[in-house]
Amino acid sequence: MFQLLYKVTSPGVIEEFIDTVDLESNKVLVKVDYMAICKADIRYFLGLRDPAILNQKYPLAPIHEAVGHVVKDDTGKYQIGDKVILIPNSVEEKYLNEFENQRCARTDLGNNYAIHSTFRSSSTDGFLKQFYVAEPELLVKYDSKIPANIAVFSELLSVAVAGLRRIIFSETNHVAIFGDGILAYITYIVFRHDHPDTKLTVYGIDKNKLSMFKECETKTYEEYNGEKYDTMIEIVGGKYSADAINKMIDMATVGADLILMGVSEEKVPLNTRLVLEKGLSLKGVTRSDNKDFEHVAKLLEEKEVQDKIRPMILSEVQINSVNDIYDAYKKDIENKTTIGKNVMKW
Amino acid sequence: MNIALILAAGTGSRMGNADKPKQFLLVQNKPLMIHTIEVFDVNPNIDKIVISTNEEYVEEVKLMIKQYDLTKVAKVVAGGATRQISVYNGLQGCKEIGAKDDDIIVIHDSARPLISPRIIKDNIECCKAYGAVDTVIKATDTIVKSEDSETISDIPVRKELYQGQTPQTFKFSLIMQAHDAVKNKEVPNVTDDTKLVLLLGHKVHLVEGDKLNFKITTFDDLMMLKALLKIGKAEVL
Repeated sequence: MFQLLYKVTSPGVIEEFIDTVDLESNKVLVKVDYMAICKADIRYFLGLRDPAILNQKYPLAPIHEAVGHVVKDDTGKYQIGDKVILIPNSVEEKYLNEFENQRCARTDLGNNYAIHSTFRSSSTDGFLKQFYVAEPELLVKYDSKIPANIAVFSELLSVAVAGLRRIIFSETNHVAIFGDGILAYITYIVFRHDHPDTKLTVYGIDKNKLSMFKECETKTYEEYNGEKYDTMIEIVGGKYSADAINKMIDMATVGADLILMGVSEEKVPLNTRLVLEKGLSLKGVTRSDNKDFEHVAKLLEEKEVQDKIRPMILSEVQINSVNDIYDAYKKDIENKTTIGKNVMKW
Repeated sequence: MNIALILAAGTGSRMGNADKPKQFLLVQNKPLMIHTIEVFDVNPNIDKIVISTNEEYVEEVKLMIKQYDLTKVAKVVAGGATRQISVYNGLQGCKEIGAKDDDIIVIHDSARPLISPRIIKDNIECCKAYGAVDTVIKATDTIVKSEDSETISDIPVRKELYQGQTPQTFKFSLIMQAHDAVKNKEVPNVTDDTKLVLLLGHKVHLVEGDKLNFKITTFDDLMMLKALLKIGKAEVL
């Protein structure tokens, strides 16, 4: 059958295309139900990347945060109607044996760091279409009682899970999250669930946004009064990355772990003298793995997790035409004051 | 129960020398009608599908249903020489699979493969409220009326004009009544089912269609569909 597929063709332009949907053998046909726009989608839409890179990407179907339900299955793994999270990243088996990818076998890293791995909405078309033909291993079933407009936050949750997976915790550690945006809030949700008793402080600049982080201490940078932290997670990104990471280096205890999760288009100058002096470890995390999504599917079953995600649903945008997609992008781009997304549904 | 009645009994006479009716022509290695039926087969709002096709193709269609793993097709019936007979036979097929008075029948041309799930959903919701629905798009060209095919006899007001598409969707009892009323009668100028329902004095409500939901009637239409598919696959435009 045929369906409409929507692609960003140049900065600010989304066009309709006709796409053929063929259920190949050993694959699963999924009806996409809900989608959410990520900051990376916005960067591609607005053209906020190196023009040379953008010219290689366009035309590109955006969206890598999506959930759906199974409508046909040639694998026998799923039942018709099963609700599933769509995993956006994958790597072909043949690449995993290459020398440069062998370190991906480390359980703390994962295959999605492999050279030649693909990511929907970045290196290949994303999920902005009604039907998606998936390899069965690129789907994770979630409980049908979980509302789909909450499950659509799964990909963000999986990145938070991946970030926290890279840290060896002692529950006596004092942990700090830097950032008051959506991924910071999501990371706070996962952290609070997995480590309810660990001391956590969240640093940000917007007191209104910080007020959403109810189960931990929150501070603006001006309110810093000399504490030291054993583990710090940077989720600021963009042009403020350098300032945030250098503050983290200043606030770190000797031997602290610094997890970097914010994306910056610029090269970030760091106080490496102090990194050396304190013996700090810096780890980069933006890519989640299948096992992170499986962890998320379990997390979503928890009422307290759902209750914390629900306020992030700023609105539901019914997509009937390309104009509705523009409206959803506009709403997310204009939102600077509230943690959340305007989720799209077919 | 919501039943899709797919009309696949056309002769393809406007397709030039094609040796098969247009709905059987292969597009992307699959018969055009299968592309259309698949949209209904995976649609959660559709419970069963009945296909009305040319008598000589009934067995071939049954084979295709197995080949393409269409799970909701409950009946394949032989159509007739006119659209009216093909729909009537299709409705009898609906009856045989257990259609009840309040069930909804979504009648769709197999040669409109770009039908969207949104149009199907709107048809069913509107039919639940009003009993009879037609899918239309606003006329964008000026429509000229000519009674002698040589001179203009009238130019109707464009804003009152729409182009009819399918699906046309009805409560089963209503569409059966409409067909029974004209059974075995020659009713002039009836090209679709809404006209029969209007003849009963029942209102037919409008649902917005889509320009892309065009009917593959001529080679030009087929070329248009193939061109759209090629653009969709293009890496760089």
